[in-house]
Amino acid sequence: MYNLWEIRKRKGMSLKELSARTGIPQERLYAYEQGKEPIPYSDLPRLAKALYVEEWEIKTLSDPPPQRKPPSGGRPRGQGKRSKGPRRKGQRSRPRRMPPPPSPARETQLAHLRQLAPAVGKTVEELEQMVGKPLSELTRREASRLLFQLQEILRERKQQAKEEGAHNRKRAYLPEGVDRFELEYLTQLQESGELVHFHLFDGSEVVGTIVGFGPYAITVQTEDGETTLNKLAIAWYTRAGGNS
Amino acid sequence: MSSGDYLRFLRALHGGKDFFTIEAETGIPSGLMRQIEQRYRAVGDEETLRKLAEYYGVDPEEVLWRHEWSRARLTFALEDAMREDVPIRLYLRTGETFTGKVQWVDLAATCLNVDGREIVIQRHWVDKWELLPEEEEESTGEQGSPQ
Repeated sequence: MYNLWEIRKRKGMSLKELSARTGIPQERLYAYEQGKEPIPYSDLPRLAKALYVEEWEIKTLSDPPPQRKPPSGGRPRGQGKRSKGPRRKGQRSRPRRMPPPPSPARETQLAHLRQLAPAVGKTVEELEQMVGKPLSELTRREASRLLFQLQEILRERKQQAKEEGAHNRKRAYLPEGVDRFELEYLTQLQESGELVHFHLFDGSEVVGTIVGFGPYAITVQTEDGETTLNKLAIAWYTRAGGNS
Repeated sequence: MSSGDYLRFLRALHGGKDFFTIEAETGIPSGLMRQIEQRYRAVGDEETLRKLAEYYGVDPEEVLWRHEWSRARLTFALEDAMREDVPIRLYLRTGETFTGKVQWVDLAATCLNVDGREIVIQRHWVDKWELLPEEEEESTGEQGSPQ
């Protein structure tokens, strides 16, 4: 037969875990382990089951576990400076450690806030009014909360716009990729067969009709034949005849 | 031209090496270059941008000031101009300047009405921009220095 605390430790279980498994309060388990109370027969099956042992293996009255030696130089548990009188309400034996001051908002958070403000139709001043202080005085947590709020507003707006059928553009993989409006514009130019002036980054110019285009290139029929312009190389383009 | 666009342009000028090679040669964390070049917001810290500028042999300041003029900020400016129906002035890296009202905004391009003429400007060549108050509404296509 073994003491309850021996079996529990052998199984690598804490008092809290054993309490959770058996439904017996921790205080009572502690009393059993300290040998202050015998384990009643009503609790034995539950303990045996929780510890995966037979009931007869558990001593009904445990020997108290050996006391741990205090670390050298330290005071033994339960002795020392702590006052022995009853602890008054609100009185603590050790002064509570002051929580660290909240971290200021990161620069990136502030930059992101300033960037998001116009997107949700607010000025930085309006944001500051919302939070009741200058952005530069926000804590990290406050900035994070505000960012979350703005992103929620943006998300709702996007959802609303999507439902209304507007701005349902699909993002091209590379930043220079032809997107919704440009696709419509190029299609219109291609179908009309109008002359288009393409101005390239090096100052040169290509004039011709559009015969085709992909996400990252436009093929133009010039007097000299077909030429394909990489979108990255194009600075701007316009109809040769002016307005539509 | 945002810092990402500019670095992409520099990479093309230097033979179009792939991200992995440049990251290995400069010691930049893997995957960061793709983010810097392709994200719409400004990505990358000053140290990384300086490393890349040094690698391409350009003045780091040329990369750093562009970091403040990200694609995302240009989107906000263009959308503001369109919503408020005020003209915007775009300064291109080519040295040209265009002033007009925004007709549409796409991820890669924007269409300005400049003196009744539609001009489709590729956003990756836009260096800087400014929204103009209503009084300056006269749309003009100008040739000038963006700086």
